[in-house]
Amino acid sequence: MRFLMTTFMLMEVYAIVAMSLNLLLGVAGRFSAYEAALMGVGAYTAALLATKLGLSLFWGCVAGAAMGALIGTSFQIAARHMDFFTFNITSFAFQMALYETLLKWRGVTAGSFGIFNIPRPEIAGFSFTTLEAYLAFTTACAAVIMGLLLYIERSTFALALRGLRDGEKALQSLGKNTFALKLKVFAISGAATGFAGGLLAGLTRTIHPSMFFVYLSVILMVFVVAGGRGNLRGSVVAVFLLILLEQAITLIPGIPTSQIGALQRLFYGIVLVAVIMFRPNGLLPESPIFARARFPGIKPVEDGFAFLGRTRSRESTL
Amino acid sequence: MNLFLELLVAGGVAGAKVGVAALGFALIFYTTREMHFAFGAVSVAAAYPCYWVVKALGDGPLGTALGVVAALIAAVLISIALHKYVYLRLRSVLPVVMASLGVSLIVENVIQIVAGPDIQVLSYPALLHIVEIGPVRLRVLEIGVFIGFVIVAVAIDVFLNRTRLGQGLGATMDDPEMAELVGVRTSRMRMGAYAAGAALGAISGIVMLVDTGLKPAIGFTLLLYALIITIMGRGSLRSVAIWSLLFGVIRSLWSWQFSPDLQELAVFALMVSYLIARDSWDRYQFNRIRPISRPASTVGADARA
Repeated sequence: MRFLMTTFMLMEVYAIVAMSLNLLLGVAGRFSAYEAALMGVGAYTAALLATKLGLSLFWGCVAGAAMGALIGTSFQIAARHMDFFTFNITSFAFQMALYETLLKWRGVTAGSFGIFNIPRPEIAGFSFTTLEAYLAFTTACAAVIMGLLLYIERSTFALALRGLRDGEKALQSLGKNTFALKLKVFAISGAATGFAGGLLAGLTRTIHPSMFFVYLSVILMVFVVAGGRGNLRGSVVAVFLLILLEQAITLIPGIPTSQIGALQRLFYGIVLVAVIMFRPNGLLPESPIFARARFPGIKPVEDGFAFLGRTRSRESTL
Repeated sequence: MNLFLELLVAGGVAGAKVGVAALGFALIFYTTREMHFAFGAVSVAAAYPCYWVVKALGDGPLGTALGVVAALIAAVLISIALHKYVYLRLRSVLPVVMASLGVSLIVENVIQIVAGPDIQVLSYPALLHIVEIGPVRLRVLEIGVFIGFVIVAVAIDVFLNRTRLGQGLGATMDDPEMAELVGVRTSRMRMGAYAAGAALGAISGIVMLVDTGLKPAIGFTLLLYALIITIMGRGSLRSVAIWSLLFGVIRSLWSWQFSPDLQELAVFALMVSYLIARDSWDRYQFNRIRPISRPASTVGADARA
């Protein structure tokens, strides 16, 4: 029973992150590979505030969300001139830099030992220390955040984001400030990711940097792609299904425990390749923006080769 | 001063080790524009057949040669199959990135399930023999890797600039459509680039097998370094070679003045800052208001560039 409850909470945390990544990757067409590290920053912020300052974990989560939004937007500001490939690689490098910071900033993050005994929150005299109570807390938070994200998905703001994905220059010519749009979507997504990191810290009660390695970013991408890029409900379904299957792998009799992790990652790899090759729009494809659209579905991202030199980028802009 | 010299040489050697893989990845990426994320995993996976062959036949000259050949064949076959049956069917940038990430997960974990997660080393005492050149002490293997890297870099440069086939490859990198129009067989060029790049990757895998030992998880780190150096190289294999040497030297010189503990963090932070600064500077140059009146000789130059 405890196992089921923990798994359910893990699903909720990952669902929040997968939805916010879907908002970036699917709806706005912005690739980012540092979601795991952003989650780590949120988790560490919440855990440090809770253990060192004695703050309630809820406010820790809020601070984590603020940190996530801050890092997301500042990275976007720094990387605003990059083309697709350079941004892609820089976000991988940024993920590694953040991970190394968590690992090596021993004075604050306690290095690879991690932080122990993170207290669960206490709000208005009611303590959420037991697993059942924390389940209620996580579910309430997740419901609010997922509701907000689903609301954003239906709003005209998301319509503008889809325009950003399908044709940035067309959107600019309509008078939209695309840079402000990018900043907003990175802030929203970073905040949700940071908050989910804080929830994860309260769930596991111990955090260490290896929880937030690059693999987690890739697995979050699997959730988004399998669920359907551009459809936030799809990623929730994908998270629940894939984590169920992942946990089912551990229950297969006769597997040595050292191979379970490898089998799970192999499973995610197979899912990713299979979805991309045989059902590129995912489990629940994005519905066409306009009901009578003749060619529904996701258009290919505009590829950028500006990194090949200035002459080339000038050609492509003219 | 001696310490500085030693670190400089050690850095150059470390850069050469990464540089072989980076040149292979850059060759693939510049020619095909496919972000082949499975490169590191395939390179590491290809070194395992070498390990098995050498274990089976003994580490004599015959066994070693057969092992290296096995590794090269494995890497080339896997890479070309991936290009032909996976990436070419996707026809777009983002799906290729995703699919290659998935393939990387698959290859790495299949190797881990088959061969176990532990470190495997092939030891050749002759290669670990230490040679002293002035104040610097190096192993024979490191000297060999450095010379091999220089030979590969120069050979690629000569091939691209001096031979007809190489010019076709260069044309495919610069402008695939135009190259096809003038009769370069671009699809064959891409296959060739995949084969050559995979072979270079396999060589760096074998070097790791002999040097520090090999485990499946190493592939991703190797790939990340190769990726970042490739992006820093901006479409020129010459600058990829130079950047990979610089990368090793900077990494090594960091531990001269600062804590070696923070080496990795410093390298990644420097790379991120360099990429950010480079693209911002480019945009600044691009947006700069140019003087309206200028000498007649430069008027046409901008339009041609």
